[in-house]
Amino acid sequence: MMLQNILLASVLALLNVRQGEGYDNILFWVMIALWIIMPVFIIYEELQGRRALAEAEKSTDG
Amino acid sequence: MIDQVALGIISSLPTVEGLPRLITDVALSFGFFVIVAMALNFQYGNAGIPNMGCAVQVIVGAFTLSAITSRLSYQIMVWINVPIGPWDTNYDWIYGNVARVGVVNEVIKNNPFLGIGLLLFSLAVAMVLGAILGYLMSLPAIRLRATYLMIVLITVADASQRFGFNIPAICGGTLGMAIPNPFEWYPGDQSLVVGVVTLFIGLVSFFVFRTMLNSPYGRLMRSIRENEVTVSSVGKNVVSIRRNILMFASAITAIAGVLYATWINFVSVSFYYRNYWTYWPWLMLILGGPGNNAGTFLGCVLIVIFRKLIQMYKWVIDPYIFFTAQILEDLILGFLLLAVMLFRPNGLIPEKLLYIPGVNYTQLVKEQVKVDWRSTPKARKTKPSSEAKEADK
Repeated sequence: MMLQNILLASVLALLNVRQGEGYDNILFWVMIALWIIMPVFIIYEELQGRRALAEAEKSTDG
Repeated sequence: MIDQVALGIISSLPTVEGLPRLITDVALSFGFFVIVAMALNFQYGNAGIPNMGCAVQVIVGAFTLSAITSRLSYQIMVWINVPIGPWDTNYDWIYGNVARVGVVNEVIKNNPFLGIGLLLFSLAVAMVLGAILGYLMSLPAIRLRATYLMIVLITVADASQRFGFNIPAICGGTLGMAIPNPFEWYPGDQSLVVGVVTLFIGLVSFFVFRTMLNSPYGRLMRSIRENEVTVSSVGKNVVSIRRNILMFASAITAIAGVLYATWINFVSVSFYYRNYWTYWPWLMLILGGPGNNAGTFLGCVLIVIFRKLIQMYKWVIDPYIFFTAQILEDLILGFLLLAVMLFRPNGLIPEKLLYIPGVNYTQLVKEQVKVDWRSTPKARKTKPSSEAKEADK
């Protein structure tokens, strides 16, 4: 219910803004979020890959 | 209460002026270049195809908007009885361009779906044309060795600019031409919409490339890069695979051209020079480290921020240098390329060995081992070289 209210409030806020400044703010933060998702995923995947390789190497040496 | 809190949060976010404006510009540049650089990494970093013709692949996207989408939008205006004027002759096509685009934009302002439809149509057509171009580029050159392939692709990229300059029906010749703005319906800062769309497409293309590189096809690409004679000897059609790679990457790169032209709402051949769309992406790839997405991403971020800093502050350092600051960007591009090739040839993040569950690549590289590929990954065991030799005996 709380989530619905927040969503409804956001949509109403969007609809009530005539000049587009409200849209601009939201789009700006959506853009930043999209910008952040990619490096976070890349770093996560890169670290996982390197860790797995290091473990495989350690098991080989052992 | 919660409604008011939500409204308060939304309205308290900073407006897109000052620093956010700069961030938007950097994000847009990053979005365009990351698509091109990832496609380049796909071709050169993983398959060993030295594509020095990225600019021609990008320009295909821009030409799609100016030559095809513009005409389609004018034809739609005719169908819905909006007076738009003639565009049959070269004279009308070039000199009546701005007025016609203004009429189309007025219609798009009240019909968002027309704008979105035109953008989707442009993206689809650009991808198809990009793939066709990749195929055509590969016809004379794909059997050549890397150096000759590079020269042919540079020549093709230059030839595309000659076509653009000398055939006014494509993009207005040397004058360039305005194109309809598919986001004219948006009341605020339209570059933000382009930024969101660009970064979203960049993210999707990243996942597409990542999936392809992690698949058996990706490993086949790497094997072609390492030794194409060996791959040919086991029955793989190397020429066909390289052609497919060039076509696919070319289609993705053309998307960047569409988005860039949509951002500036103008297509001129002079916006698609080789140093901008070929050498900068190459520097991003080489600086970050070819063959891995993390390196491409890092190189892209560093170079985009670096270029923005040069553009912003080159006039400050102009009095202290003995040449004009206008060429500073290109000079630094050349210097950086040389420095990276000399001191860091593998890039800032070198390519790591492949990790595949059940296969110990580290051991495979270190010593000759025998892998039982018929077994399941969990049951798969690798034998050290001495045991492998005994087993072979």
